[in-house]
Amino acid sequence: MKRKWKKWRFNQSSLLTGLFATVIFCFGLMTFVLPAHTISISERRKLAPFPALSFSDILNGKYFGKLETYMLDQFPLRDFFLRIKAYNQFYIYNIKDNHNIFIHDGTAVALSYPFPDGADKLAAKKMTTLIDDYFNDMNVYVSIIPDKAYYLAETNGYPAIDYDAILGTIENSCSKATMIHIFDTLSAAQYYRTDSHWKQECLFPTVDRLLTSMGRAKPQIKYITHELDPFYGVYSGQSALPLAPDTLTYLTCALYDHVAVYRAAANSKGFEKTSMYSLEKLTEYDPYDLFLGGACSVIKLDNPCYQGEEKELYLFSDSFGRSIIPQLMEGYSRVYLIDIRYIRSSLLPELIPFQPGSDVLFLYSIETLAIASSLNTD
Amino acid sequence: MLFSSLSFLYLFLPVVLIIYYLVPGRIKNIILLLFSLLFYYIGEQKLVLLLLLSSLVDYFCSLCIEHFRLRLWMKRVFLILSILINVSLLGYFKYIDLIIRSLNAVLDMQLNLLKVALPIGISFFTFQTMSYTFDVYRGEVKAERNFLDFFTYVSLFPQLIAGPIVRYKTVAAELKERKFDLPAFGYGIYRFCIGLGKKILIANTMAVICRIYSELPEKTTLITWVYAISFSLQIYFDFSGYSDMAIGLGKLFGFSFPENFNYPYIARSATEFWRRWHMTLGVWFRDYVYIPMGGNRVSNVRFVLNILVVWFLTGLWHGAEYNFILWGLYYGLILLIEKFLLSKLLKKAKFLPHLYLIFVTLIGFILFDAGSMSEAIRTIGHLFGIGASFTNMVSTYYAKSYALIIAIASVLATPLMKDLYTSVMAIDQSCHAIQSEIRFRIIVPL
Repeated sequence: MKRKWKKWRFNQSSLLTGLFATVIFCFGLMTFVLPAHTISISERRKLAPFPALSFSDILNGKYFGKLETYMLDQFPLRDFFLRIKAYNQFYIYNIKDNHNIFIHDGTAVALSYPFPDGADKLAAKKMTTLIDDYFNDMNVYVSIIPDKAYYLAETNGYPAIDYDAILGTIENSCSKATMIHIFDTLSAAQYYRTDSHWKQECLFPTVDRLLTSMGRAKPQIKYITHELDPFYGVYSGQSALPLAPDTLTYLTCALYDHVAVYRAAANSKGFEKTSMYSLEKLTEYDPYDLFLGGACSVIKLDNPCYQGEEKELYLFSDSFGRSIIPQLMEGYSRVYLIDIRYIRSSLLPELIPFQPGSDVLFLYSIETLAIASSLNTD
Repeated sequence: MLFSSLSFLYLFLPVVLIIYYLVPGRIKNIILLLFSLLFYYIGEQKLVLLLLLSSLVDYFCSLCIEHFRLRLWMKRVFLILSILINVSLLGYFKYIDLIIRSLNAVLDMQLNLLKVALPIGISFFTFQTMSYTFDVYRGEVKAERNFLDFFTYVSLFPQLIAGPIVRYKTVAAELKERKFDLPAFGYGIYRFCIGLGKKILIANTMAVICRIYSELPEKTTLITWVYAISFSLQIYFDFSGYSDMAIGLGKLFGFSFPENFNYPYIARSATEFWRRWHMTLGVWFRDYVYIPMGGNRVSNVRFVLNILVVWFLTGLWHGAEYNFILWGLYYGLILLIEKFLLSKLLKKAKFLPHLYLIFVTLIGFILFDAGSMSEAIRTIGHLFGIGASFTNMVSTYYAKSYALIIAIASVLATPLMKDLYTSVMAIDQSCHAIQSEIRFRIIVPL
């Protein structure tokens, strides 16, 4: 009996040792031998390259941190392990969200709760600073874009922020701007299931509300829709769960053939011509960059078909603004999309000759309001 | 470098294992030493010299203590020298800012904080080197003449940064000669994986709940209970996970480190809890502080003083903040109450002592985790609905969301699964025995 027990223990130890050795040696070796990936499609970010050996980095210990980052980014079957972790969270531990993302009827929703204390006041303060500095003689409007959680969180038992309080703070603190409420023009279905953004083809009621509130006529354009699939939005990677892909849709019309689009140069000195839709972005890690070529400090759109007195719109917005701005074109001779997360506001007059009597619209998503400190007002 | 980091698991560990098992026996300690120093260097760079200094001090002091074993006052001089240097190192690197803050507060001074970076594992390796010198002084162990072996003992990477506190005499023989033993190696892998699982699967998830709690704008009674339980589980699975990994790694290199945890949450009193929680630290304070002060064979007043001193030091050892001292004194007080008032009740009652221990531990860990005294009082108040509503939608959501993992962790914190496994194995063995009996007594004769 004792001999049997010993043999069993020996076999068990051999098996365990073999398995352990295989895992640590093989995965360790593969991490360094397999070609390194440059980007992670699922997480939409660049992956760390193998750190170059440097004496100073080794001396101050930074090299080892970089090596750990490299291994984390280039680990074999990385996405598979992330998925296992997500499955474990959702289906074994029964935790209702993973990385603050919950799934409701196949739609991934980010929990925006809790909203950072004072972020709404800070955003309002920054908008007021901009108005005081540049837009005292213009018609200023402010509108807040709800996130999907507004429509799906509270009703399904998930924590939700107090949207009314945020809107109230913005409205009261930005007394020089007129609030345009658009929450009722949207619904959860108007957002991509796997992404945080709204769908361009579903924005007609919102565009109507914005334009009419700013004294412009409702657009009369007939659009052609173009569908691109599969589109895996930002939440596909973040939730690490197998969400069914979306179809990315963009709109074109005869007007857009004439609209000239310019992006501010990297050094913020002048503009470079670009196109309304950058199809080459579809193969990169954020296909939503299709709209106006992705994030940029200032994008200028000239509408040569505009009839009537020159009228400009200065739209301060984020990535949501890039997909709605084409539909706002009809009402203006020129539109500037300004993302002050990427430019200091004091540099704006060098790029934009602000015209008195123009319209100014602050159109920010709840996500951007939550990180109001990233808005660069001087 | 954490044991759960990829660079440790898939680079450092395979490389050290290959080289260690390729080189001949006499070089193994040098390989272990070199990799242990690299391990420390990765985390602390030049402070690796501190490790060397601490080792040199105790190496020479112990040699001198042994050399002057017949001259008591000389022995004492070197013992005191060792204590002074070690305590000074610990005092400077760990406690200097606490001392400055205390001086500024008490004497109304304006001294600037030094903001000295705390070297990883300093509390562990200082206590190890001190224990070695104490043991040499008491004649319980011979002074090590080979500095490389001694330095290997002090810097041994499996237990360098998070314990257990290994006394020299525990591993003295293994430092000289170790044999490869496959079952022991297999057991080492098993213990390491158990520890890794505790850390990654349980402790890290519990840490998420604690982070969520800290970020919630409104703390309710329900979520405060969830936090208190989660933090107690997090700290247990994190710390005992590291100890398991250390014990497992020790086995991979032929060392047998002492156990550090023994299901502390099943204890029936705080006294028993501390016999099951961070056992190597408890034994250290018992052997080198409590018993030399007279232990419990003294007057009641002196006994109370001894207990409070030991627990003041235990608290201080855990961190250079007032809340740690308070946490230590809290346990000192609880132990005194148990000793003088509750001992009979705790022995007689069946279920109540467990509830009592859980409650005492939860309160203790709230003190441990609190940023300030006022925060601790506020959090304890929230547990009882003082200044907090019972629940709200957010609290209910998080309580529901994490209920299952908290339940799983609570079960795993007890020996229930281990007992179940043992029972199944016993049944299995009985079945085999019956089968053998049938075979030999009935089938074979036929």
